[in-house]
Amino acid sequence: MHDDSMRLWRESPVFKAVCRAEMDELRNSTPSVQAGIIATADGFDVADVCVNDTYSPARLSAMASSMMALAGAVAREVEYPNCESLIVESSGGKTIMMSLPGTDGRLVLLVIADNSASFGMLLMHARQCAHRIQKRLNLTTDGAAES
Amino acid sequence: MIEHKIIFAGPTGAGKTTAIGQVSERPPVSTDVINSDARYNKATTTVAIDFGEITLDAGEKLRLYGVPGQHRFSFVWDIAARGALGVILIADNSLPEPMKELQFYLDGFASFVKSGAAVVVVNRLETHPSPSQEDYVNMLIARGTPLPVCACDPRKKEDVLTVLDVLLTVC
Ligand SMILES: Nc1nc2c(ncn2[C@@H]2O[C@H](COP(=O)(O)OP(=O)(O)OP(=O)(O)O)[C@@H](O)[C@H]2O)c(=O)[nH]1
Ligand SMILES: [Mg+2]
Repeated sequence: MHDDSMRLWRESPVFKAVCRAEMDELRNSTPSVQAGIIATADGFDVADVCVNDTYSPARLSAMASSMMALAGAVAREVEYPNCESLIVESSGGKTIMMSLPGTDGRLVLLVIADNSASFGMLLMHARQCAHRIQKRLNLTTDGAAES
Repeated sequence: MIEHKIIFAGPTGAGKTTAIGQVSERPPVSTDVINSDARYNKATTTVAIDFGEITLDAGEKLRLYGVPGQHRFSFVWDIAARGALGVILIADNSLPEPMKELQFYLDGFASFVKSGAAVVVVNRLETHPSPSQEDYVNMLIARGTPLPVCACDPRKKEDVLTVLDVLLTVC
C-alpha cells in the first residue's frame, strides 16, 4: 500500500501555506536565497518560493528526492545511521538539501542560494527554517502532522 | 576482467528492483523510499538507482543498475545509461495497456533499442496472458525495432539469469 501521510501534506493548503511562509522568512533573513522548495521523499513538490521563475519546482523536487536517497545509501554503506543533509557547492552558488525534522525522511527542504552570503549563515538559517516548519506544524518523529 | 554495465528499466512496479535483488551477489544498493502515489499499490519505490553485481561463469562481471519507473525521474535514465552495454526493459503485463506503456521506455532508451542492445521482458504472463509474447514481438517489428522478447518472473533468479544471458548474446 502507498503511504498517505505524504499525500495529505501535498494536498493540505494549511501545510503548504506554513511551508511557504517560513521559506519566505528564510528569504527575508538571507537575501542570497534564490528558492526554497519542500519535496516529498518520492519526488513530488509540496510547496515552493522561487525568486527565479525559470526554476521548475517539479523537476527540482524529483532531483532532490533522488539525491537524498543516494546520499542515504552512501551513509548506510559506511554504516552511518542517517543522512541529514547534502550540499552541492558550485561557482554559481550553493544548493542545500535537508531532511525536514520530524518527518522521518518523508519531506526534504531544498534551498538554492547564490554565493553572496557566507555559507555558515546560509546553513544556519536553512536549519532554522526547517525547525520552524517542524514546530509550527507539530511534526513529530513518527511523521504525523497534527494540523 | 571484462565488466559490463546493464540497465533495468520499465514502469513502476514491473519488478526492476526485485530482479536485481534476486541475482546480485551482495545486497544491492537501494534507493527505495516510501511511496505516496495512490496510483501505485506498493509500499516503496525507487527514486534514484538500484545497484547490484554479479560474476558470470565465464568470469565476466556485470554491474546491474535499476532506474526509477516514473516519468518525473527520467533524468536518472540518461545518467545511468552512460556507458551501458545494454538495457533490459520490463513490461508489466498487468497494466491496462502494457504495450502502450512500454513505448515510453522504448523511446527513453532509444539509442539502445535502435542498435539492438536491448531485451524486452514480459512479467505476470501467468495471470495476464494478453498481450502475448508474440504480440510484443510483432509490435516491435512493426515499429522497426525488432528485439528479443522473454517471459520472466522477476522474483525467480533463474528467469533473470536467462534474460541476462539473452542480452549478452545480442549485445
Ligand atoms: N506474481 C508476480 N509478481 C510480480 C511479477 N513481477 C513483479 N512482481 C511483483 O511486483 C513487485 C515489483 O516491485 P519492485 O521490484 O519494487 O518494482 P520496480 O520495478 O522496482 O518498481 P519502482 O522502483 O517503483 O519503479 C514485487 O512485489 C514483485 O514481487 C510477476 O511476474 N508475477
Ligand atoms: Mg524499483
